[in-house]
Amino acid sequence: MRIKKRHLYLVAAVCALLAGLSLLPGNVIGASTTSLRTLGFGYGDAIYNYDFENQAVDATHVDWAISLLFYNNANVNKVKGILEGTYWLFGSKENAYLNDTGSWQWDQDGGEKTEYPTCLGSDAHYRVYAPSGTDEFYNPSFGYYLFGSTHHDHHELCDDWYDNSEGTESDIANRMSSRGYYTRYDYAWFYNAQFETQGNHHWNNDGYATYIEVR
Amino acid sequence: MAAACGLAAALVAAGGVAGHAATASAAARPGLRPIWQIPRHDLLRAGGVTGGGTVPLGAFELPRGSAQGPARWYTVRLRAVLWLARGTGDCILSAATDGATAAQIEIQTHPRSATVSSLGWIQGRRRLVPRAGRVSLDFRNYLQVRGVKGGANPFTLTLEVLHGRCLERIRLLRGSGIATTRARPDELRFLVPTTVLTATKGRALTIPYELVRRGGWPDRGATVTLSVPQEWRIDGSASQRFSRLGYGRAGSFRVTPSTTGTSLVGLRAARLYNEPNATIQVRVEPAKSWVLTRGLSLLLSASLIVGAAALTLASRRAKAAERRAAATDEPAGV
Repeated sequence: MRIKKRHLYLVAAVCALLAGLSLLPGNVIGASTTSLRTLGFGYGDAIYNYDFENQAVDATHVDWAISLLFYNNANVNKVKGILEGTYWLFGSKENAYLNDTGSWQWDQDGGEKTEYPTCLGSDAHYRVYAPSGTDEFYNPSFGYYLFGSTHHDHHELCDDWYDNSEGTESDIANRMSSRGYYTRYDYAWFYNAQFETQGNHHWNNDGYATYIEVR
Repeated sequence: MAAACGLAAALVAAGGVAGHAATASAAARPGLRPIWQIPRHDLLRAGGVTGGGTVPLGAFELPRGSAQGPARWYTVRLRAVLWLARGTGDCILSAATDGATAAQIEIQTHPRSATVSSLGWIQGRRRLVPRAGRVSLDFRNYLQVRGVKGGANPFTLTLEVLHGRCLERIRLLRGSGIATTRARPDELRFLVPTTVLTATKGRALTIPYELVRRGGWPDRGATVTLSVPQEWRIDGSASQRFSRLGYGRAGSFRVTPSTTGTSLVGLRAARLYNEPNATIQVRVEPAKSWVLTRGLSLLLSASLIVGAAALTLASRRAKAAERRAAATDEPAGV
């Protein structure tokens, strides 16, 4: 009888652990906002001002604020190529919902980060989004253009937390500027200012996006 | 119909391998009036970008106060022959006026194949998979607003090598230059369902659409073509022809999916203005058998009824047994 009771305790403990683990991803990845909205860029082009954890427009499962716009002669491969000296390792994929002249569609990108995920290290990470069929938008106002989100990852393999979207935005702005690309830091209001902590997701986004002209 | 449809891809969508034939008649498209061609001696300079770099190819003069739209729209045309390099490479060939890019053609070469893809507002998204080591381009697009101003507008051609090597040689052809049109950029667009359509394998599904026209270019009608996964059946014709579009036409196709999972079906109106296309996601579920759908529920109901009957019977029997036991235990009457 005693053995049976011990077994029961063991099973209960394992169940509790599994239940805890199943709750963990929601705590780690899930973030929410009250500022989710669409932004229009003319000629029917529009985006949501946050990227999403899943392919569902859901203010309670956003990932990061859109904070970059590459325009004129941008292309996903080209932008990643320009930054690949520093941002070289692919990251986990997130989703953006984009409207290219009337057609809402999902794009997915893992982006690029500066370091391997480790237990004690940190890295800067950006993702860029454009209609997946073309890897770019076109319209006469912005030329060939695309959007990006930014953040920092910390201790990803242990006590992970995520923050500093402004820091990575600023880092990318500086790098592009130093390579001669016309960069307007915090140029346009994207309605996604957010300063708060949600679990291990620390928001510090000023709501202004940086515009970078790619030649 | 409008409620059932959401806005959809007018200019870009997956798929769409456009042939050369579509571009051959580009010069004859209604409403495009060439105003400037890259000078012959500058055409030769285009070859200088083969290894990467930018070359100026002259400039077009416009009267003071000129601007992009809304009455007159300026477009670029790039006619070229590209000799593709063997090996692996990724390059972007672009053309700009006043530094504002209006043509972007991505060339990706692999040891045994290559893809040449472009996006513009006259031909839509194009993706060529050349069989030979040479590919002909005839690209048209609306210029950027910043790319049009009164005075001289310099025209430049740039090849950016992202990695490897893509081109052996470039020859820019006569006809490359600037044209104007009164037609607004986004002439046609599709309205299609934006939510995922749900279908059952082997059962017919209706794909609704609406083709909307702004009315800047002459109304030449359109042929809407449906493309479905290879194993699917289209019930009827895969194309629907409208001789006139007016401000728009609605239609639908019926298809019978024969594969399960999520698939994409495509609609396009090819060889017309901005060549709109759209994709619709369809989730196909396996057909459920009669046993699984109704049989199981019937079986469940029958089990419940039998169970209930058995319970009633058992309780009646128990009560009867109790009564009998009570009767035998009763003391004999006086």
